[in-house]
Amino acid sequence: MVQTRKILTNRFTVVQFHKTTNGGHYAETMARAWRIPSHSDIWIFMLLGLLKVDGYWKLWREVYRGNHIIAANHPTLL
Amino acid sequence: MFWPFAIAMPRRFFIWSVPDGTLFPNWLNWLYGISHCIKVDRGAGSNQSSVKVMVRVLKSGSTITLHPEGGRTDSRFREKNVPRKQFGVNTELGTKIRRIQSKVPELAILAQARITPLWVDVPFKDEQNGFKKALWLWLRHRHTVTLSVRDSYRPDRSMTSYDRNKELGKRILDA
Repeated sequence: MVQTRKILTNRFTVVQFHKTTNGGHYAETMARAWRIPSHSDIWIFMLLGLLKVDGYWKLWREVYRGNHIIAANHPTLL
Repeated sequence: MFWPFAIAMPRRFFIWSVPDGTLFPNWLNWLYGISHCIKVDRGAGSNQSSVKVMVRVLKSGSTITLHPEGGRTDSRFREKNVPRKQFGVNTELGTKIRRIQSKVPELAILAQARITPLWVDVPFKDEQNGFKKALWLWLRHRHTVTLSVRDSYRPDRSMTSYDRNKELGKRILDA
């Protein structure tokens, strides 16, 4: 019980913290509040630690807004 | 990466790509649209018809992924968990990129779109490694491919084409 309350308190603190630091972006705030790193996802590559996305929810938000170009470098395994 | 969202909101999250016209044979041309690809003839000087399609796609609220370098760029080989180190060009993170020669900023201006720079870091592959070794290092030793996203921006209309491309290259490098 004490542990639960402690976690909840921490979550609340984290939410309050991120509301002020990342412009109140809800998805990223909640992900961080529930101790989920923003790059973590259900995909197997990410779970295995083979692929990491720094700024997943930032990109998600941009894609959701639409009218948007992703400009990236083009590495290769070949 | 966004596939559950792509099922729910395909217009937003089923991202378009721009492959070469030789990706599918002629009789499979209909696959381009289905797989959200916009065919580009890389040998041609200008691709006005492709640009028109891209502008229409962007204005409809979709996203396009582009690789503006016109070539391949890898990070240099480094051991696992070693952060990106400086080499080549004097940038913040020390990565290296080819000169940007594409018309991506012009496309963004035409469609009034935003550009999000993204750096794909594959640190276990360089010229010394073959495909098998790179794959082995990635899967067996659990190396990490990192996609670093930077804040989006709108290209400045008042800048020259050269400066806009330079700015885009710098933003991708610093992502």
